[in-house]
Amino acid sequence: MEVDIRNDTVAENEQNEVFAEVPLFGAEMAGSDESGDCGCFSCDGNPCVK
Amino acid sequence: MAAKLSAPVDVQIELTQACNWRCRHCYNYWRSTETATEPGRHLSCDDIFRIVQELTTNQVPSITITGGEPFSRRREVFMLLEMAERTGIHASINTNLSFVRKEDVKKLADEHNSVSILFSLLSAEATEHERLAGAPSGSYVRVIETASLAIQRGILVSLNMILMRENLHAMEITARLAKNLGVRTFCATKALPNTHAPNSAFLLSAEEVHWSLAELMRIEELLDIPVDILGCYPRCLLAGTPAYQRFSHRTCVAGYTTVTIGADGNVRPCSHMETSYGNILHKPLADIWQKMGGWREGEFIPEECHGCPIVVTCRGGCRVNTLTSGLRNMDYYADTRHLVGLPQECLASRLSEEISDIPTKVMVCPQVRFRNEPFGALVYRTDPLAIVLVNHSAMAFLKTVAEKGEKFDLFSFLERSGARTESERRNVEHLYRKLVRKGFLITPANH
Repeated sequence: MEVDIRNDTVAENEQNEVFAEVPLFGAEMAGSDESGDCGCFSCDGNPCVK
Repeated sequence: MAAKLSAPVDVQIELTQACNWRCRHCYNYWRSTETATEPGRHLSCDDIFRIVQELTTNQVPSITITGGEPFSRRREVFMLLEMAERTGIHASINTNLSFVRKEDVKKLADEHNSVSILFSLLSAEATEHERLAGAPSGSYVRVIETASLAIQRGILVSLNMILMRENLHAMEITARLAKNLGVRTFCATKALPNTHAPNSAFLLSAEEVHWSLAELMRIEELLDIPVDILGCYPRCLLAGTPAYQRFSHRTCVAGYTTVTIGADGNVRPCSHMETSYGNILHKPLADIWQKMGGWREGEFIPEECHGCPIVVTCRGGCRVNTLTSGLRNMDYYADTRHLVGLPQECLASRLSEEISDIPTKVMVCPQVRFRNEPFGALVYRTDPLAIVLVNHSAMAFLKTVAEKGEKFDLFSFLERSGARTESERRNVEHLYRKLVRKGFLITPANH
């Protein structure tokens, strides 16, 4: 039986990564808090619900 | 690393193109300069059913029902609300309130109590509001009475004042009215260029924008009312005034976290734009979203912004704010001179993360849902709406403890996070605090 090495590698990497929030726009400074933090997912929508 | 989502987080649904007002600032691309009320297109019940099916398939957490004036199609508003709620989608409504009847308010309060309303008011002076809104005499009083009734019935209502040169003077009195009504948030949002009013003399200058932001903060302190803006500014406009960084929480999210579905079913990256990437009545939302990939990859970020140190988070400001037809043109308000010599801390938007009391034991809230993403998951709940994006390992942990109903604390969260360095531990603790603050982690009932 063939083993899907690629999937195993992905799974292993996923297990080894440290818990983290993923920033929506990337490269935020440490401590900044923009990644999906408020309800600002569209303009002209409801205001921020912090 | 930045998240590239597999589907939108919020979808604006233009239930109808019809509106009984003729606001000067209106961004509906189909708006003509005529004053007569045209019937306009609207979504049928079958269309709505198909749209909700697509949103459910793609696990879209939130919709905004808009138009035109959505309550000109009252039956469809309630149908959409019912379908959305049945499938666990959070809904809010943008309306001018003029068609909302007492029985509508009662129905919203009694049967759809998680819905929130955003209404526009252009001035607390009745004649000024009606003139700028192109609304018939008596509209102002009707709107205020309806807003008041809705708030009394416990519906979350926010007021959006669209700022133009002519009504800037009325910010404080309009905020006072908002405070007296008991609205949740007083929003003051700059008008944007639109196709039916090529003479853009009503648009604010950069100096007037600065004044309006200062005024908004003064109002917040004076009246003790939450304030917000509903559009976005390029960060270079705000740089140089640290107090304004709080307003940089909004970025252009067209095709990035949001799309608009028109009354004809066409899916557009932004409500202000006419360009469609496909029709949801004939194509899966996932395919249309894929076609919009350029919006997530920065295809429309202006060339001049590419070398900017903060372009990644700023994303070049608003794409319809160029005052020309070129989507890749610079935002009218961009002014890179403000960036010269500024330290990084002046450019980051920061929201308070501190919560005074971290519970010793927590569990994952039963209402939490996970949407698989290439980077991990979009973790969300819809009542109230809250979202956080996490990587694969954090998702795996949260899913496991959620399934088992397992209780844990910050110490065990840190231990199982894989964090080794001080910096990693700080970030993991930051994530834990955020999960608590947003209601994803809750104190067990019997603890």
